[in-house]
Amino acid sequence: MSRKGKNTIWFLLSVLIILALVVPAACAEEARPEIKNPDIFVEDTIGEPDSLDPAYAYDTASGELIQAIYEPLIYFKGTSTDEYAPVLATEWDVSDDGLTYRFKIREGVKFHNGDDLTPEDVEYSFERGMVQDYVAGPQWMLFEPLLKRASSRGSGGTVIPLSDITSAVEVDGQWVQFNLAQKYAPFLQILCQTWSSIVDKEWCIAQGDWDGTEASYKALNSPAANQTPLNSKANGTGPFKLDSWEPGTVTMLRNDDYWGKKANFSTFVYKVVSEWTTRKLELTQGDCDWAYVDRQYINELTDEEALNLKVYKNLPQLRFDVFNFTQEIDPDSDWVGNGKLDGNGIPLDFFSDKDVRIGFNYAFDWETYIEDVFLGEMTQTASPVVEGLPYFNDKQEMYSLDLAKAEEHLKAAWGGQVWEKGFKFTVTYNTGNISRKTACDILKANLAEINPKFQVTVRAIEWSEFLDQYAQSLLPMFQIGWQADYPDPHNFLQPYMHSEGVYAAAMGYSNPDVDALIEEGIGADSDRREEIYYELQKIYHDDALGIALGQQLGRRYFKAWVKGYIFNPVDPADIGHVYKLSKEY
Amino acid sequence: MELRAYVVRRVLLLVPVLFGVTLLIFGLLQLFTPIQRASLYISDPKQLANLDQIIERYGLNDPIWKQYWTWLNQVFHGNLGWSKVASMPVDNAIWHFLPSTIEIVLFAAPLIIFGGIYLGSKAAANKDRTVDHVTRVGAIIGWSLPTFWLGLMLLMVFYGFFHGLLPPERLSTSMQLVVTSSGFHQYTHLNTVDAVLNGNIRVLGDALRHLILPVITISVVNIAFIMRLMRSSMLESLGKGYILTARAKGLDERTVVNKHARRNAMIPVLTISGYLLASLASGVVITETIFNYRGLGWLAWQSAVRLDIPTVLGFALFTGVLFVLTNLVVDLLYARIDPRVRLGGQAK
Repeated sequence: MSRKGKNTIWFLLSVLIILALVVPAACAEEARPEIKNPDIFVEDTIGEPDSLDPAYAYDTASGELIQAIYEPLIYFKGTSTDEYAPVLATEWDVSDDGLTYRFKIREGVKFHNGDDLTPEDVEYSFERGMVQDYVAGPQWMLFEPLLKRASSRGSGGTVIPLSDITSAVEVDGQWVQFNLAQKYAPFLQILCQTWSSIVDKEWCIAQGDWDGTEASYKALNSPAANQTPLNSKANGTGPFKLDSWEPGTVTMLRNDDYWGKKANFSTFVYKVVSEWTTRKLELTQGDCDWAYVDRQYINELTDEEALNLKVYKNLPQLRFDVFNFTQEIDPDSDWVGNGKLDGNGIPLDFFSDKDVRIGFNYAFDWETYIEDVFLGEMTQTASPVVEGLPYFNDKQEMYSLDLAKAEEHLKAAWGGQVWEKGFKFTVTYNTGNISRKTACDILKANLAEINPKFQVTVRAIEWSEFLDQYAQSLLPMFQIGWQADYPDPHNFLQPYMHSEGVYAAAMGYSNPDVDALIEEGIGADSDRREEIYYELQKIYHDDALGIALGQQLGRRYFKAWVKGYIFNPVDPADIGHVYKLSKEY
Repeated sequence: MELRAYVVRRVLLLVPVLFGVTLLIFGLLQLFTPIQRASLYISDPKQLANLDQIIERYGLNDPIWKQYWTWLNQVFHGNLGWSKVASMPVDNAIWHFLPSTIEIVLFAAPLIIFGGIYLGSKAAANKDRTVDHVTRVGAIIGWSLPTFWLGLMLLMVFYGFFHGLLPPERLSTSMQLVVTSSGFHQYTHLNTVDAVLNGNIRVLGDALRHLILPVITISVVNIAFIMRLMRSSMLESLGKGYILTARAKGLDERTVVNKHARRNAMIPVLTISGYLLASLASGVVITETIFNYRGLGWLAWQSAVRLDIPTVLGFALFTGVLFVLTNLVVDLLYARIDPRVRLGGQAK
């Protein structure tokens, strides 16, 4: 071969090698879609925020936004629910009797309007919240530990003296001191949440908020819905400043003077897109960086790579879902047939017989329910104390589908009459809630299989009607969930088991021993708390208060270019601390 | 003079109409129990612990006349109440959502009305010929297509398949930030009009791009209706004696159709167009939802679903005024089109 020919071959070979190296790289570059709006984070969701006032807001949508604008004294560390990281407080201590909590306030922090953060602002923030005390708001969580009562209002609408509120929180130099009226184990957890956000005293007063006087307290206490001076204005110390809040869209801009690590993008857009297809297309097109995906649609987004998505799965939510039995049904109920145990109805106290409740539990098929409705992404729980909460007993016995045992208990129920005569009643669920409908259908089918005389009708009713019926104890059985306010068993057991708890009252459940245990648990030391909460988990199971459905495992759908997501089950909404995220490959 | 008296009389009619409408709606809403009406203020079942306090706070258990009087008294003081659904006062909410609805209607209405009239008269003039058959089939298809299906299909094709060609919402995120920035003055809150007034061609282009799909969705369904109405009305008028006379006089066919037949055929079409416009302007729920193009339809739908009574009543007042005024305008236009109609006096 001539020298020229050799050269040509070498030349061609080198070109081929270079191409072999460059082309796949170029193609790979091609395959990765360009990051859209790199300096803007867009969240497509379904929940309209209720209010931006931290003392008033009690919904998760508002919580997420408030968390971007305002800051608490401390917050949960990383993914932990019982370790704390300093935020606006730099250090803190708790007295031995558990009744005094002191926090040293961070210096050099500025509010968005340029005002300095002072210990007086911290004192004002908590007192202002209790002064306002919206009827359906979160302030009970501060009233309970600080004043040992649920609200600022007594019987007949009279308000407690202002001095009761103002003496609960005091300033001492650079420190702020909380004087508790009772030992309260989850107090630090409560201080982490949005209702414990710090506001700017001077600015609040300028907006027409509480000015420290008795007259202003009386005028501002118990506001009508959304009628608070901070409802749609905001001035916090957090990583984002509120730019605008129009119905359906909240826009925030980065706080460039933030004392901590600044946000990675200049703008955060929170957008409500109610139609699923629209939301899905915006996510797949990259016009949003995170989208809310309803569980029934997750099969539409299985090809994560092709759609350039990053999906976080099996995230244990601090949420408990249950099918409750009403032990004292109201006589006005339309759902109990003829109200007699003659095969054409059920008596009003039908579920007061423990054998009925246990029999129903053995007739429920968790496997089918969890597979069909949650595609396996739910874990069965024995009681309202779900996994992730302290004092969760993972050895607690649980019910499982066992038609023979169900038969045995239902034969024993009501002295054998249930088995002999059968029953007929209606279970309802709120329209559109497919998972609740499926639970009703499973129970209905299995009961009919045990005995054809067991007749359950399933009916959908509107949410408002459901609430109405439930609140008046008109529903023989009802499904409802509880989302953690703070990660402590007390927050879950009180509503379901204490005779004054919001759900237990509707269920007609009352057990003085249980009430005493719950009341003792909140102030007890750690060892005693473990004993109490283990005992309550056992009672919940043995008494079969309801069919404990389980704890949902959540998912989060991000574009693949979103980095830095940390799941903490206590975060108020789907994404906590948006400013920690970044958009990059 | 007579005309002015007529107009004043018609406008005065608004008072009893609005009173009646709100009283009727208020009465119907009372069929819901106080707890159901309190559900508006409950976003989470855990708030139910304070149900009694909520009912008392909003007077939901008061006698109906007292509740109506409280509301009426507020209205006399220029306060329509708080819209929970929109998180702002009711009158602000209506003004806030009106522009997006108006913007769709602004582009869709001419297409629907003039397009419908044109195609309808074309079909009538060419009865049983190709044009007639084609428009008939088109009308049947258009009229039978469910709006939600058409909207979703258009979105999937032009946004999903063609990679973001025609997106949903009113503006893209980056343009939205331009519009709300201090450098851009929102005169009318109609993005297209504001973009022209601000001389911002990028916002104009973006707003138009976002308008195409919702406008097509609404037009396809409604144009069919106007077209068929125009066709039958036109056929009827083409069969009248004066058309025969006109033809006998030797007038050319275009003058006969355009001047003599069409003008007379317009009257029923005009009435229907008026109502159609008013109902479009009071919101197109499905289109607004699919394209996340929030307007009055969304407000009305949400407030009804969530039993947001102040918003429902405020919206009823708005639509009441809208329909009465549209009716009046249609009547005034009758007089212009048909010289035989004389308003407020005897025909000569």
